[in-house]
This record gives sequence, structure tokens and C-alpha cells, in this order.
Amino acid sequence: MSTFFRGPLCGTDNCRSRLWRIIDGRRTCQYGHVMEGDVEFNDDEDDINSMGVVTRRLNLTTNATGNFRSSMNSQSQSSQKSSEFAKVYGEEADRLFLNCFQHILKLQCRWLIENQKFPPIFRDVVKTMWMRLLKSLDHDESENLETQNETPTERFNYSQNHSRRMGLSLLSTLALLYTAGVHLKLPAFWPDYLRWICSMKLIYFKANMQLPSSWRKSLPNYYLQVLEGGNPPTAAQFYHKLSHTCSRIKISYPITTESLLLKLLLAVRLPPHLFFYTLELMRFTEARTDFCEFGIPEHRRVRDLKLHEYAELRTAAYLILGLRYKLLEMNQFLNSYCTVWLRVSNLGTSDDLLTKTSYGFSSPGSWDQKSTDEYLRWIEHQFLPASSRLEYESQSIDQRIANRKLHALFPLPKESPLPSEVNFKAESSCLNYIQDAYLSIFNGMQESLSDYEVSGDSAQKLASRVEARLVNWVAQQWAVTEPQLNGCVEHLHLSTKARQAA
Amino acid sequence: MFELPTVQNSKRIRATRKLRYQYVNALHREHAKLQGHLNPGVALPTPENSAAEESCDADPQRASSIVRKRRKRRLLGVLGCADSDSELSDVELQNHDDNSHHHDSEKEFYSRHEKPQESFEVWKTDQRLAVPMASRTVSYADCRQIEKNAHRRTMAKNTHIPRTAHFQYSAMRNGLEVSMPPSPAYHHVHYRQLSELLQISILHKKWENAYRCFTILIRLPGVDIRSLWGAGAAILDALSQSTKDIGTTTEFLGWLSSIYTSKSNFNHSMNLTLDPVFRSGSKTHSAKFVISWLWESLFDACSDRNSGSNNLYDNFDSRLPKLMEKISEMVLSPPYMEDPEIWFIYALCHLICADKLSARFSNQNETFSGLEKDIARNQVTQSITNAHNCLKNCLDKGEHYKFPHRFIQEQLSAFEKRLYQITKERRPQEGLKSSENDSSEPSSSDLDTQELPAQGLSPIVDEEDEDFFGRSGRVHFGFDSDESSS
Repeated sequence: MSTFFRGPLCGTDNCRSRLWRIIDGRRTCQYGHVMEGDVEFNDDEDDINSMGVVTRRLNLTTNATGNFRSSMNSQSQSSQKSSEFAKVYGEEADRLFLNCFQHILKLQCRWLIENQKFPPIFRDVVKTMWMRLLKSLDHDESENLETQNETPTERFNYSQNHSRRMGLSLLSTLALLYTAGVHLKLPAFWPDYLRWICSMKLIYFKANMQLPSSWRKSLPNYYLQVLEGGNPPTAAQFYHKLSHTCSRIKISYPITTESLLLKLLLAVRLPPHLFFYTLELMRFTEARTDFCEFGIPEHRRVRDLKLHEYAELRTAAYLILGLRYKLLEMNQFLNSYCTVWLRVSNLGTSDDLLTKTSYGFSSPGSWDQKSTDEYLRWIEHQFLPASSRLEYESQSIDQRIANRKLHALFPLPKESPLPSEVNFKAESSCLNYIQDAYLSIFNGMQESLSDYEVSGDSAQKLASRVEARLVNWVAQQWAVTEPQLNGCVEHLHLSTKARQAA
Repeated sequence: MFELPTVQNSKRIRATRKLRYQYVNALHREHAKLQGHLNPGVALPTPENSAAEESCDADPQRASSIVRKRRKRRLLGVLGCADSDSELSDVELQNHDDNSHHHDSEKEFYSRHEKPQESFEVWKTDQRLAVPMASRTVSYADCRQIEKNAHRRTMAKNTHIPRTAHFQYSAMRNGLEVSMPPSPAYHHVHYRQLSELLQISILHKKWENAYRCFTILIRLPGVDIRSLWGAGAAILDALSQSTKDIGTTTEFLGWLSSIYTSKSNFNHSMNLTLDPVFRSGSKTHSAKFVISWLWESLFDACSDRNSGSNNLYDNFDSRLPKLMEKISEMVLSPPYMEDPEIWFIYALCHLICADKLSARFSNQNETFSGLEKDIARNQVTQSITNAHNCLKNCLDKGEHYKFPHRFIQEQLSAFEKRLYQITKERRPQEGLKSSENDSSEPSSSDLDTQELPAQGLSPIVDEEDEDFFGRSGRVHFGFDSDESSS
């Protein structure tokens, strides 16, 4: 069966055919006209080798240095490269992933010990926790393999473990660090960790960039994605992860929250009296001697996560509740204090502002010049080096030269004080800043003290406004939603009522 | 609030776009089928096809055309020339679509429609060319039928698609759109904050802040400078005078023009958030930064004359010819070959050149020997001819490009007259009024009398700027130099 192929219009005897086929080596049209002057060469395959010369077109381009460079050459180079660092899969990939995870954990520990003055033993504690978690991974897997099809819950666990990449994510590193900190009774809590990761001091976002390049190249993409960081943790994801991790390593320590309470008070610039009010309220409601200590609740599904069981949220809720009661009691000092407090423009430090910005709650359009400067300086010194860390390696020499020229047109502003100096300054300025803030509130109080009187109506209004602001701030800084926090407050409010009635 | 200058090219976006164009194409095909005429442009003309077309035109009834198609196919099958390319049935067409690996439904869509870059800033306001709107109606039942068939056809090809893509597709079918919130990922949030801060600082003219934002943004991975260069040029414009070691706008634009190629095709499905083609450039459209660079360097080449009259001559000599050489290379290849604006700039270069050369004739201090004079005269004539040629090219290339053609031609003829006039006129430098009395434009002759060789070109450039590009700033410059010289 001969096949037709398209060609020029035949045109012999006004023939309209465009379809041709080869009959006896001659090109013949659909209606049988033979094409004139068409000579078919003997183009059998064996001739190609005997001809000796094979031509091909080289796509020559010049690179930035002016040398010729063929596209062929670059292709062969890249193929060579990819064969050197092939991705690994399967069990080997899992092992590599665990290695990478451990590496990140190690880097995080080092930073905490060096910069946040954690005790050196912290490292060992984290190691122990990590070992236990590893053991539980092994255990899970073997158990799942044995009882794969027995119960629906087991099957659920199995699929969950596998879809969640062994249940590990970067949040697990934070959960491990947190548990270790709790074990050592260090005054570091979730808001602190969140602040550190959002200001990119503690390795979290783009953590995969910190891995050794050979590991990164051979780690499969789905694992790289796990170590990417991506979205900042939202809506109590951390607490969920914490319970999950703790149930796996089978350790539960009580968390002491007094220091958290003090930290929170100082950060939001509320009067220190509230500390004692809140403790009183806690003692009353909890009705046990160790009323400041809370365990880590057991792991549940996300849907029935009971946030008010978690120590930190419970403490914050107690503080909010205590403030509410006191304001409604028409405490003269607190009422006038909070009237002034509502006018204070920015709570927290510049790092807190960063946390807010990372969640998109605040945008630079509304900032003053000082915060903008601080933000830009942070971007220059922390964000930019961390995010463009690997860019240079991945570029070709042309791109590098081009970029160097561009960067020469736009040099970065030169200001690079020594890092230690900055830290020192930051610490002392943090204290000064808090003092200044309190002083300014007291000054404001003294000015407005005379023309302020408390009435029931205004106290209620004031209490609701203060509470709204506090809830908003805490929710933003702790990465929970406002309804979640309000739910905690309401729950505690009810239990206090019940306690009162009893 | 502002568009993010990063390159986004995720699989999900691509899948959604592909589905949309497939659906639109299927709709179009169904509609054409209902109207009774297959799109003749789809298939290449073969004897069978053209025959089918003819009969289609003769008898537009849908049912009979289907019957005829079937008959034809059967006949062809009997004859043994089953040509897979001839699109006699939709089934075959569909198979063909599936087989060809590089089939792009977006390209198919755009083959029927005007691409956005082709109608960009083209205002067809001519009343005579107005065409009444096609106002054929389709009954509701038919419309439903078309939609149903198109949906079936699209789904047949895409049985396994991600849930999000399916969701967006069904929304699109109902005429809705899924609004995608900005990504909450940590890095994206900060990218967004930075670009927002950049734009706001530019609007508030806080150039220091804007500069810092820009320097950071261009160093971040994933940011495409082609969507940002306008901001960068504005910042350099504002800062390069006062700040020490940063570059100038011309350098920056030159960098862009030398780095980004104009030899690539612009693919719609690849460039999702990149700047449109008429700004970022492709084989068919010259990039805006290249054109701005040419304008900037043209201004640079002939504006720097308050630096002193001594080295002025050298400045002129080195920069303008360089620019002309550059343009002469550029106009050899597309897209610059087809761009009227480039030709116009080239013509202006020649114009300035002619002005400068012919100004030597009106300069009484310089004395020529006969031979030198002939050479110089030839040079002037050559420049004038070149300018005319370029203008002619410019007129040929684009009917939408408006420029003061008559005025420029008058200027050119004025330069030509200078060559022969000056021998008669014995005018020392005080002759402000009449050394150019041959010129038809009194305003230009007022300004056009300087004894310095390069002074003569300033009024021309300035007037054109003021009149047609709205940059009156340059005019002050010209007047200043006039005052300083007189």
C-alpha cells in the first residue's frame, strides 16, 4: 500500500492534486501524472556511513567573555552533571531525609546554645528526644506492616504516616526543641520560637538551603519540599504537632508558665500587678497546689483539638480573663492605665512586628520611617543572604557576569556593624525600650488622671476594647486565630463561673 | 496591591489555562458545527477539502453536510487514499490532536483571535472602517447543547485532572472565576511586602527607601528585572545625580538591552506573570527598555554641552557616531527592522549629524580649502539623504506612528541650503536674525544661529521633544546653553 505525502500542486493538464507517492522511484501524483525533473537519490541508510562526512548544524552562541560556545556542549555537560548527582528514592531516600532532618536539628541547637544562651546540655537532651522519636518511627513502620489491614484506624495511621513523610516536618524540629526546653525548665515558649523563626534567626524557612549540596542534590523533591518551610505555621498547628510528637516519644513534662506570663505582660506593656491577679485567678480555678503547671495534652485529630488544654494558651486566656474581671470591678488604677494603654501605638519589639508582617497582618505602607528602616535592614542582613544563598551556584558564568554588572550599578548601602555589637545593642536597647514604654504610659496617666472617672458603662466598654486589642495581639504573635483564643477565654470563663458556684 | 515581579510558573496554573483554552476551542468548534460551516482555516487546502468547502458553501444545512462527509469518507476509504491530515470528521481531528505531541490549545485559540500585543495602543477610531457587530443569535436550547457537547469533549480528554483544576474549570464554565488569594508562604509574603514598599516609596518620592528595596529585590532569586526596570530607571533618574557610586539610567538601560535577547519568541503559555510582550520584547516586538535606552543615549549624546565648549566637540564626536553605529546594526534584524520608532531615532541621529556638519559652513571662523569643503559638503548631503531614507522607512513600517514629517523635512532642506548660502553671506556672530533667513520656520531660525559648531543642533532636538514627547525639561536646557554662549 503506497502512502501519499503532500507536495506542490501537480498542474499537469490542470490537475489539482497535491498528493504524491513514489512509484518505481518516480514521484507520481494522485491522478497518475509523473513529476518532471524529479530525481530520486539513492538515500539508503548504508550510504550515510560510507559517505564519511556527516554534517550537522552547530548552534553557536557567544558567551559573555566572547568565546564561542555550542549548545551541544552545554547539553552534554548538563547530562554529565545530572548523572553525577542523581536523586535517590525508596529506603535510601528515607535514610537521607532523616540525615538531613538531623542536620537541621543540629544547626538549630547550635544557634540556640550560642545566641540564646541555652545550656550546653540542651543539645544532649534534644538528641535523646530525637533518638526516641526515631525509635518510634521504626516501631510504627514495623507495626504497620504487620497489621496493615486489620483495623480501619491502623490503616488510617499507615496512610497518614506515609502521606506525611513519616510524620516529620519542620514543625517537628520545633516541637522537639520545645520539649527539650520544657524538660530543662527553660523559659522559652512557643511565641519565642515563632519570633525566632519569623526573623530568620532560627533556621526554619528554606531550611533545605542549609543542607550540604550533595545531600540536597540527591534528596527527592518531595522531601526537599518538607524541608522548605513554606507557609509559616498557622492556627495552632504547632500545638497539634507538639501533642503528636510527645505521644510518639512517650514523654510528657509539666510546663511551668509563670515566666511565660511575665514575658507576655512585659511584651504587651501591661502593669505587673496583673501577674499576681492572674496567679490568683489560676489558683482559684485550677484548685490544686501546682496550679502553674500543665501537662501536654494527648494527641487528637485536628478537628477535636482542645486548645484550652495547652499551657500557653491557657495562661494567655487567664491573663485576658483576669484583666477583664479587674476592669469590670472598676479598679481605678487599672482603668486609667488601660485608657492610656489603648493609645500606645506599637506593642512588642521590632521582631514582633516581623512576625506580624510574615503573616501579612501588617504592611509597610502604614509604617513610619523607623520601622521601615529596621525592616529593610533586617531584609538586607538576614533575609537576603538566607534566600539568595544558593543562587550563585546555580547560575552560569554569563549570568554571573551579567548580575555582577547589574549589582555594580546598584550597590547595597554600606553599613555593616559587627554582629556582636548589634546583639549587645539590641539587648540593652530592648530593656531600655520596655522602660521607656512603661514610663511614657505613666506620664500619660498622670496627665489624664484628673479628668477621668469610672462609671459602669464606660468600664464595660473599656474592658471590651482592651480585651479585643489584647486578643488581637496575642493571636497574631502566637499564630492562633482570634476565634480560637476567644474560645479558650470563654471556656475558662465558664469553668471559673462553675467553680464559683460550687 | 501591586503586581509581584516574580516569575510564577506552577503546574497548577498551566493545567487550568490548558483546560480553559481546550474548552473554549471545543465551544468554538461546536458552534461552528451548529452554524453549518467548519472552519476552513484549520485544514490545509487539499483537493478533497476544497471540494468539501465548495459544497459546504453551496448547501449550509448541517444535517446534509454530515451525511455528505460520511459519504466522502467512505468513498475515500474505498479509493485507498485515507489521508489522515484531511479533516473530514471531527473524530479524526480529535485523534490528530491527541497524537500530535506539541499541540497547544492556547495557540489554536490565538490563531483565531487578535493577540493582545497586536492591538496594544492601536486605536482604530476611523468611522469609515467601522464594521457592524455580528449579532446573530443562538437559541437557548442550542446554546445548552453546544455547552454540553463542548464539556463532554473536554472531559473526554481530561479524565484525570487535579481537583483544584476541575473546580476552576467548572467555575469558568458558569462564567465565574475562582479568586486566588495571595500565597501565604513566608517568602512570598516578604517579597510582596518589599515590592509594595518599593511602589509606595516611589509614589511618595522617598527615593532612599525605594533604592534600598530595589537593590534587595534584584538580588532575590526568582525576581524578573524586566517587570521592574521602570522603577529602577526612575530611581536612578532621581538619585544618580546626588549619590556617588550608583550607576546612571543610561547605563542601566544599556545593561538591560545588552542582556535580554530580542531573538526569542514570546510564548503565551510560558509567561504567566511576566510583563507583556510589548514591554519585555520578543522576535516581533522591540522591548520598551531598548527604545528608552536609545532615546536616553540620544539625549545624552547631544545634551551635555554646558560642560565647556572645548571638549564639546570631542563629546559629540565620540558618542553620536557610536550610537548611530549601534542603531545601524540593530535595524538589520527583526524586531528592530520593523519598528518605526527605531527608524525615527535613526533618522534623528542623521538629522543631528547633518546639522552639526552643515553648521561648519555657517561658522565664519573656520576656513576650508576647496577640497575639504567638497568633502564636508558630501558628508552633509550623505547625512541628509540617509535621514530621508530613514524617514521613508519609518513611514513605511508603521502607519500608527505619528511624527512631524513636514517639519523635519523643512529642517533638512534648511541644512541643505546652508551649504550654498554661506558663501554669499558675510555675517559675523552678531547676525542673530538673518544667518538662517532662508529657513522657512521663523522660530527655528531664531534659535538656530550659533557660531559654535554643535550649538545648532540643540533647538531642533529640543523643539521636537517639547512638541511631540512632552518633555519640556530639555527645552530649558537648550535655552540655558544659548544664554551662556551669547
